[in-house]
Amino acid sequence: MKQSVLALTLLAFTLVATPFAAEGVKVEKQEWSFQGLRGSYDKDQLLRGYTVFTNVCMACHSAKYVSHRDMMRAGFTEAEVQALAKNLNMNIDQKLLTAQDNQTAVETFGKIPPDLSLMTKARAGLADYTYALLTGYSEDPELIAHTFPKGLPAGAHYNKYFPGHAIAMPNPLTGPDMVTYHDQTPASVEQMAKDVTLFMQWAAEPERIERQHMGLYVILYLVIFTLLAYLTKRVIWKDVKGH
Amino acid sequence: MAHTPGSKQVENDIRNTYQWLEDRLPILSFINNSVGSNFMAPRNLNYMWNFGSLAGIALVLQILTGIFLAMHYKPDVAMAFDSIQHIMRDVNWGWLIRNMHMVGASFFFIVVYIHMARGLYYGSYKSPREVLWGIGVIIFLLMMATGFLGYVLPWGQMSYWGATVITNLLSVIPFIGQDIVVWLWGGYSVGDPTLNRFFVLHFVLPFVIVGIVILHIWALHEHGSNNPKGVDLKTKGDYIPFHPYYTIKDVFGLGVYLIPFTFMVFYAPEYLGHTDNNIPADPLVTPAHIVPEWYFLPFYAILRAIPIKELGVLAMFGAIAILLVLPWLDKHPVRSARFRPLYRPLYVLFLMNFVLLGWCGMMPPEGIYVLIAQAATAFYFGFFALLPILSKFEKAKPVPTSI
Amino acid sequence: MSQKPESHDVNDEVALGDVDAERRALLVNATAAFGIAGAACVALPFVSSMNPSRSVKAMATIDVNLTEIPEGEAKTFLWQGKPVFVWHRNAAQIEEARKGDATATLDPAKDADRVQKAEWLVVMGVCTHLGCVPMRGGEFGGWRCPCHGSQFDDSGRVRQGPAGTNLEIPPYRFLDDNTIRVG
Repeated sequence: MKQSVLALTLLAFTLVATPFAAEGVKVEKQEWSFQGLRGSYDKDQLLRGYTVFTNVCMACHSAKYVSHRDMMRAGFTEAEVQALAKNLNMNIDQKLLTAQDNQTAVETFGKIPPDLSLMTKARAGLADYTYALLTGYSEDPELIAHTFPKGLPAGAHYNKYFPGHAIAMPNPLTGPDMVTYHDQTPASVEQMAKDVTLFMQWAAEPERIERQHMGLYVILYLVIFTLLAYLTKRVIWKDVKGH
Repeated sequence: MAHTPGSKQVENDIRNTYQWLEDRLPILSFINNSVGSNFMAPRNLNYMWNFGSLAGIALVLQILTGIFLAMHYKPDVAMAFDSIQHIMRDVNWGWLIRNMHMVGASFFFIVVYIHMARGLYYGSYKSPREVLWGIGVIIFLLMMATGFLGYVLPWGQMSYWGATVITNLLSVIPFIGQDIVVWLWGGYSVGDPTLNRFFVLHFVLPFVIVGIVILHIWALHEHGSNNPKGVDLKTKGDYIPFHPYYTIKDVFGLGVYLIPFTFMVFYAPEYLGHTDNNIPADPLVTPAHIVPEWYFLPFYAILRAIPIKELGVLAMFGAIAILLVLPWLDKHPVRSARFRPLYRPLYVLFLMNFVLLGWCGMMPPEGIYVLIAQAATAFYFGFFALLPILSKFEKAKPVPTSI
Repeated sequence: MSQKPESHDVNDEVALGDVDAERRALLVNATAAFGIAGAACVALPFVSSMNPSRSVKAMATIDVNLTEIPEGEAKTFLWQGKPVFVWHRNAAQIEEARKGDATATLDPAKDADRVQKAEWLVVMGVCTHLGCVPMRGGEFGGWRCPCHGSQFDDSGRVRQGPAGTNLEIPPYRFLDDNTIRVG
């Protein structure tokens, strides 16, 4: 029984580790502040991401599950959040909805831009994919001609990481300094992509930091409990023959 | 413990109260006889025997978390997806309860698969425990139904398309198949009526499972637990009381179980899920890869391995149904695989083949994967076909007369 | 060790030493206590999940435009799922309410303590008996509860039972002369 359990576990892991064959271009892994047991959302970066999101993305996209009040979970004070909301003429309980109506969106892009509240959790590759997509646009005519010998489909844009490479969304981060950051960080395209991805990751999982910090204590408790249970089991079983 | 007159008094009071209740409703002695110190169990059970009670605990955890989720969930196509986000973002500790429920479902299946594999290895399904085994298979079927219904409720893309694909399986039933599917949907596609009834069934079925689990335990008590040597117990010394020996062993096992469970709940709650289910259901767009929950994958692979729709569905349900007749396929007098030199390697291959099937279920249904899935499907059924032959010809190693 | 069942006879085979018995009792108790404490901690999030959620708390304030309410009349607003009466009292009604300072004996309170500005009475429209919504009317100028007949005066004070306390005053403040924020 023991050998078979071992063999099975090994087999299962080998198979699960086999990458999917048809998943498109491999997405590069990035370093994120929210990863790991003690991860957190960097407040400055989150605010930079918020700046990009509200100035660029929100022209067309909404985050319908997210309000300014939610940012208090990430360490912002009520006064800070009130000030941010006031800049957008919103109250802090209003959701981050785009001003663009669906009709215009369909006429311009051919479809309604998806809600971004859950975007980093809704695509294979997660946050890494969102970052890759935002930095994956190219205008290189040779590259486009190579991928699309008959030319790009009407209204589509070339993106290295989008499945099929023809994406309806035009490049949202066309050049540096589209926004001015509160902390004077130079707003390069990569920086903006990275920051807004972090903001979207926070929007998708505002509870993430609470759960990551808490999990450690729960597991610690369980390890002690299991150890105690094991010792108790041993002492209770002492009088059974063959043990 | 110091025995002062006061503590004697308290002890007497407890005993009298116990006796008073016992005279009116002997529920405490019933519990003691079922899972307490009056239930005698073989003294040589190994850790593989932990998974039965662990499955029971997993079931209770699912019901508990499920009840609290149901207080916030809305079974309406316009509101279901939003209500899940409400649970994850607004409800106090909603994320914790939902993560426990999601991860709990997967862990419940892990535990039950191990529990079944243990029964298969030690011949726990053989006479006189055929009914015990059969009830177990029925519990497994109900679990699969409940798991499937539950996966529909978040109303994401995988929910919607999973529901569409699986319900369409029933269309292969001759003559009335299409009518049954429409009846099940309450419409001409998976929609609002479907979601509402799936929610009701997902809520009710676990309680049905609890009822059948009670039958499972009842059947277990008729002949007691099987044991690693698979021989019948002869003397009183072969037994120890379930409590405290196996209760403490189960508590220890529970602790070991909860550590990876907790890790998943806090650090990788959606690892076993699918990203597409974070996209709201869209009847106009099917995701590129439709993949069921991992615990269905082996059976899903069998379904896809056979190119004829009707046969595929039949094979998939047959793969589970065949477990019901297992006690009559394998009539070898020796229970435990330890003493069966042919059955034992065959069993290991069977399990590896089962994992391979699961892997096939995950892969796109094209090229080499189809061939592998077909070979694995053939072996799955071949295993069961070999059992009656083994029963006749396999020479067992010497079996000890007692444990 | 008294809680250990005596029915089994395994102990006969190997006699446990006193040290072992003590160690055993200690471990059993420690594991049980630790486990029960853990289970209790797990129960907390479940209980807490039934308390008002973040979204309910976010709806916890309303702004009332006072210009909508003509002098002498009261309007009802929904705050936290419950009605709030905002009464624009005229001079006669204020006079009545002040007279009541002496005669409201069931739950004595000064009208001046129950309002921030004399012409605006803001009270919860929830009868302090069993939670019905009182209606304008009754013998005391204020409200009368349709469920069990409690009566309230021009200051929302209870004047006739079965209710025993005055209509509650919700937390509110004047944002400007024409707006109040309740909550």
